[in-house]
Amino acid sequence: MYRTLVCLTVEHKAWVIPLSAFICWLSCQITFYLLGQARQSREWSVLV
Amino acid sequence: MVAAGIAAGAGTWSTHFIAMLGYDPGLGVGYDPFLTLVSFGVAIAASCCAFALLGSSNRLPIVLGSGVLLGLGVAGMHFTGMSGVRIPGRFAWDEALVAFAITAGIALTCLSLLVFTRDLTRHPAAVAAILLTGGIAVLHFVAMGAAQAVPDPSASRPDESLDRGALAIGIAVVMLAVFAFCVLGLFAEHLRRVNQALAAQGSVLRASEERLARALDAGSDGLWDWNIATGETWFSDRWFTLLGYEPGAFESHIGTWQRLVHPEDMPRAQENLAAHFEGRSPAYECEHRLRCKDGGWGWVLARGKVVERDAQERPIRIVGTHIDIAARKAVESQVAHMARHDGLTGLTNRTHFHELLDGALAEVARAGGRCAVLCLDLDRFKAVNDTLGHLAGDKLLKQIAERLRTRIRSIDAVARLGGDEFAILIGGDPTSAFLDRVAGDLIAAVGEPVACDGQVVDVGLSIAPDHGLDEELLFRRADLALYRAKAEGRNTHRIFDPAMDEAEAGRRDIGRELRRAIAEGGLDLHFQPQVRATTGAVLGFEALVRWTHPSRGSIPPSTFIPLAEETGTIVTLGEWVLRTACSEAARWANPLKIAVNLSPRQFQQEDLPDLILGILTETGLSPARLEIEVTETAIFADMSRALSLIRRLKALGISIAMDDFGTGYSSLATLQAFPFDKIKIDRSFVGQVGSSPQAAVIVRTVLGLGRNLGIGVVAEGVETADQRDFLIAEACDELQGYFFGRPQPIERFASLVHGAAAEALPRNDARAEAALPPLERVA
Repeated sequence: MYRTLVCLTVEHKAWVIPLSAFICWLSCQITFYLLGQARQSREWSVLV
Repeated sequence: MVAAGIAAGAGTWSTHFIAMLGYDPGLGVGYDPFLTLVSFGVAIAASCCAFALLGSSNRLPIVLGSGVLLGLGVAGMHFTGMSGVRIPGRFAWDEALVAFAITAGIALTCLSLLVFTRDLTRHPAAVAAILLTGGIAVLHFVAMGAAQAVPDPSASRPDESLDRGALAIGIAVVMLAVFAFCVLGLFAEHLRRVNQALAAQGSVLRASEERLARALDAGSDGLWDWNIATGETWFSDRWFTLLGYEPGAFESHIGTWQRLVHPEDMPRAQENLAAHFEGRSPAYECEHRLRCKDGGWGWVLARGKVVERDAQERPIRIVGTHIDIAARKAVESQVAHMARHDGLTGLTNRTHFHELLDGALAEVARAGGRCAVLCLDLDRFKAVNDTLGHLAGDKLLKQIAERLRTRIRSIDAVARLGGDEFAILIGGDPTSAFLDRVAGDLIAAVGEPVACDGQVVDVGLSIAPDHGLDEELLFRRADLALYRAKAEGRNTHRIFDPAMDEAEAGRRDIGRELRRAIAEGGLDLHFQPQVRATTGAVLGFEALVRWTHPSRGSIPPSTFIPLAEETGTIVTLGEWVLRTACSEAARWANPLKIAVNLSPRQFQQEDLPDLILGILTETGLSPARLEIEVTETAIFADMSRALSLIRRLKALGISIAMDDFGTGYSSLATLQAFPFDKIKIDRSFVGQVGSSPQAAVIVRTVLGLGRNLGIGVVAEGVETADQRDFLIAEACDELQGYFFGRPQPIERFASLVHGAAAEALPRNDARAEAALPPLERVA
C-alpha cells in the first residue's frame, strides 16, 4: 500500500489523478446509461 | 450494448493512459504503438464480451461472470499497455500487490454490475458507475504501485516509441471518438425509440383507419370533403349510392352538390353554411332534399365542420356527412298530418282549421275582401250512435265528410271539429247570395239518403269582416247562427245577425240572474196533482219550478231550464227543487207522494243517492213518498251507470218513473232492463187521443205494455173529460193534467194536503175551472 501511495504522490503528476478519475467516472457513467437504455428496451436479451 | 462496451473499454483505456501521461518514474517513458493499440483492443473486446454475457441473463452467476470478465479485461488492458511502455530499464513487479490489484478491481467490477442489475440502490446506474470507476482506479493505481522501474544502463532509450504528445493526441482522439460514439449511440437509441413509437402509432392508426373504413362501409352516411378554396369536393361511394347513383357518377366538385339540392332548400343550406363559416354556429347542420337518380327528392341531414382555416380565420376545408333521413321525414310527415287532420274522416281538424282561419282573417285584414265560416251540426246524430252503434255513426260521419269535401271549392276548407260538428271556411270574397247557395247545397248534399239513415243538418254562417275579424268572435257568431237554425227548424241555415248577439247577451243575463235567484230564494215551487184514474183520489203532486223575475216578470221553464242545463246551473237548481219539495211534502198531514224531475246532468252525479238520502234525512220525508222522474236521455248517456244508480235509489225505497215516454227512444229494452215503477205517457199523445187515431193507438199500446210488464202508467196532459174517459176506459192507473189542476202554489191545495179530502180535488179551483171544463169526480 505504501508503494501505491508513493506511486500516486511521487511518480504521477498531481493533475493526472483527478483528470483520469474524472474521465474514468464519465465513461463509466456513459456505459451504465447505455446499459440502462439497453436494459429497458425489448431487445435487451435479443441484441446481446 | 455495443456502444456501452466501447464506452467502457475506451474509457478504461483512456483512464489508464491519461494516468500514464502523468507517470514519470524518473527514467523517461515511451510507448510501443502496437501494444498500445492492442491494449485498446483488449479493453474494447473484454467490455463488449462482458456486457454481452450480462445481457444474456440476469442470474447471479452470469452477472458475476460478467463482472469477472470485465475486471479481467481491465487488467488485461492494463498489463498489455504496461508491456508497451518503454523505459531505459525494466519493471520489477510486486506479485502480491499485482494479485491484490486484480482481485480488488474484479471485486469492485462485480459489485458494480450487481448493484446495477439488482437495483440495490435508489440510483443503481450512478452507484454502479462510481464502483466501476473505483475498480478501474484501484486496479490501475495499485498495479502501478506494484511496478518498480529498475534502470538498466544497457537498455536503449525509447527513441522509436510513441512519445507523450502522440499518446495525448491519441487519447484525445479516442475520447472524442468515445463521446461521439456515445452521442451517436444515444441518438441511434433515440431514433430507435422514435421509430418504435411511430411504428406503434402507425399500427394503431392503421387499425383505426380500418375500423373507420369498415364503419363507413356498414353505415348509412355519405361522406364529403370540400376544399372551399378550390371547390374540389370528395364524395364517398356511399354518398353516391345514397342517391341511387353509381360511385363516381359526378364530377368531384361542390357544383355537383349545388346542382342536386332542392331549390327551396338552398337558401337555408347556404345560410347555415355561412353561419358556420363566420363562426356563428359551432357546426354546419341542415336538413334538405337532394335530387335522386330516379328523379325524386331524398331527404338528407347534412352535418359538417370546418377543419382548416387560414390566418384570417377564413375557412379552407370543411368535412361532413349526409345522412339519409327519408324514413324519419316520412314519419314526421305522417305525424304532422295526424296532428292537423281528423283521424276518422281525414278532414282538417280543429287546430289546423284555426290556423287556416287565422291566415284567411289576416288576408282579409291586409287585402280586404271577405271570408266566411260555416258551422254545421248534424241533427240527432247521437240517436244514430245510440241505436245503430258507433260503427254506423262513424260510417255516417265519413260519408257526410266526403260529401262536404266534394261540395266545396279547392280554395275552401272543411274541418271536423269533433263529434258531429263540422266547419267550413269559404274564401275568395264570397257574396251573401253565394253563401246562401253553398249552405243550401251542403244541406241538400247531407240530406241525401245514406246507407244507415237519412240525416239532416243545420248550418250557421258568419262572414268576415262583416261579423268581425277575430277568429274566436267569428266562430262564436257562426255557432249562434247555428243555434238559431236549430231553434227555427231543422235542415236549415242561418247567417249571423247582430240580434243574435243581443239574444245571447240576454241569455247570459238570464243565466246570471237565475244563479242569483237560486241563491236568494227567488224561485217558487208549484205543485200539480196526480190522481187515481178510477177514483179521482189525489195520490200525490209533481213539483214544478217557477221563476218570477222582479223586472222581466214570469220566465217560463222552457226558457230558463235549457239555459240552466247549458251552464251547469241545473245541478244547483235541481238540488234546490228536491230539497224544497221534500221539505214541503214532509210538512203535509196527508202522506201524499211527491214527484220530482231529475235532469240528465243531475243523473250523472256520482253522489246522487247520497245527496237524496241526505235531503230525506234532513227534511224527514219518508223515501216511500218520493218519486224521481227521469227521461230516457238521462239513462242513455251511460246505461250501466244509470242502472246502478236507479237500483241504489230503489234500494232506499224511492220510486222511479220514466218521464216523457214516447217522445225519445222509447226503447222497450230499457223498460225491460230498468226497474221502473211508472211510465209517464207524454202529453203530446194524450192531447191527441180524441183527434188522432194513431195517438190513441200509441197510448193504448203503452198502457197495455205497462199492464203486461207490471209497471204503472201515468198519463200526462189530461185536459178534457173525453181524454179522461178514454184513459179510464183503457185502464190507465193515474192521471195528471190541467183537467185535475194546473201547477199552483201548495197553499191552493191546503185542504188536500192537510185536510181529510185527500181523495178528491176541490171544486173551487178557480183557475182550473176558468181554463178547463168543470171538474168531474169519478166515482
